[in-house]
Amino acid sequence: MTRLERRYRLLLRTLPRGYRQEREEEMVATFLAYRDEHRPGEDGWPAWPEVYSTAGLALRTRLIEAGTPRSQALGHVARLIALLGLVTQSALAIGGLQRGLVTALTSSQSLSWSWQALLVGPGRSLVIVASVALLIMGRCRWAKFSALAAALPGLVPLTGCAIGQSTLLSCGVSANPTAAGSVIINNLPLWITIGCLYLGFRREAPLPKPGQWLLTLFAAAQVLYLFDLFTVARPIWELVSIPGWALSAAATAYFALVAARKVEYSTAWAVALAVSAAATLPAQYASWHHVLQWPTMLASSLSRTLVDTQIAVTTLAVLALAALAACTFRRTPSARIHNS
Amino acid sequence: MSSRGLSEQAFLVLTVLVEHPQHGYAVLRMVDELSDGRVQLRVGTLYGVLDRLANDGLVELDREEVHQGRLRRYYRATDKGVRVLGAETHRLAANVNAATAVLGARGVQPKALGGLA
Repeated sequence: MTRLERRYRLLLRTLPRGYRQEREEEMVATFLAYRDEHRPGEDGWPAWPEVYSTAGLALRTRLIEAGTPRSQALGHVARLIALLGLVTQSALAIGGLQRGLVTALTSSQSLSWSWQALLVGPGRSLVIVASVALLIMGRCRWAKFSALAAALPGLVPLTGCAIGQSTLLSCGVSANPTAAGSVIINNLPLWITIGCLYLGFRREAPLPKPGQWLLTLFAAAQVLYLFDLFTVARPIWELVSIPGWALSAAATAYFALVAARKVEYSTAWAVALAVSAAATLPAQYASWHHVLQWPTMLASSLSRTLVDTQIAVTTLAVLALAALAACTFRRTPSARIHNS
Repeated sequence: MSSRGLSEQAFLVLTVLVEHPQHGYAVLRMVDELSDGRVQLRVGTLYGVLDRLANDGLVELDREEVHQGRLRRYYRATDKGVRVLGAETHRLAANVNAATAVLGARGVQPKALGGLA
């Protein structure tokens, strides 16, 4: 075996084991035949384009494509996380838009506005709603672009731009907006959503069922809007992480439906719900830490109970889903289905 | 198959395999020739395209051979692959005809861009 062949085999170790077992000999032969014709006699390293294309294949076979039952499940997980994240973010955005519209129509005072506030508030909400709508319509490329655009205002505090506290609140940056840590933990769910959107919805990926996801979006938006109205007169409830509760409720509903045999258990759903709920935990822990630092007079027992309960419920849901998913995922075969 | 049509790479690979069963390296070379060097597939990309076509039932394994001590796997287009290539060619031809008519109305003949200068 030549040094070049050894290096090609090393490069192919980035591929999943089952895929490599089936394809390694054939791919090495193709690599070497190409090299023999284009750069004969050279015993160096694989060319960069070969490294990129193999890395792309490794990513696709591990995460996206229907090469193995396990990679099928991972691709499905990525798509579900993206959809759950976009639906949750869009439902929050629609609720915020509804609330803003009602305030604007009913307020007797003249409203002050700035282009920055419009861009980061309603502008961002519209963009995130557009993203989920485009995805449901099958316009994946535009949906990705739109989701990425919606994430940009969340990075504004990192750039040091001076934007009001109320504006930052509307883009999910709550406590201490100037701290990079706060920006990261509050935007983590959206960034994970965007990452999964790019990984899961590649050209060959199946599209979501429009009716099912539109109905979910509409129902979630209305529930969150009602919750939003409820919290207006009770500021203490603003400590609650709405996405955290929403995803914990979705996880509980999922367990109940599976237990009642109304829906079939799916490892992909369990993993997607666990990851989505786990993504909200850093912000919940930050909120908990924030309440702990309040003076005793301010930190009422209700506020502490609320924060403690939401963290406990979300953590339990994540652990239960993760344990269930880990047990069932191991049983998913990793061998690749043969082409013919 | 996805309802979004074939990518250019998949279209060319399928075209090569409809003609004759071929092994990986031959497909790389023939795609290069068919596209006049515009599309130069890399090995990783080729196997990604072959996987997608196989998953869609458009290509399948034909046979295996050992050539100079190295494994060669030959792939061929399935009947469905031939039908899909026909439909895709028809769709692209319709687009080309429409574009040619529009350009013709403006007195422009379709030709490859020779550079921006």
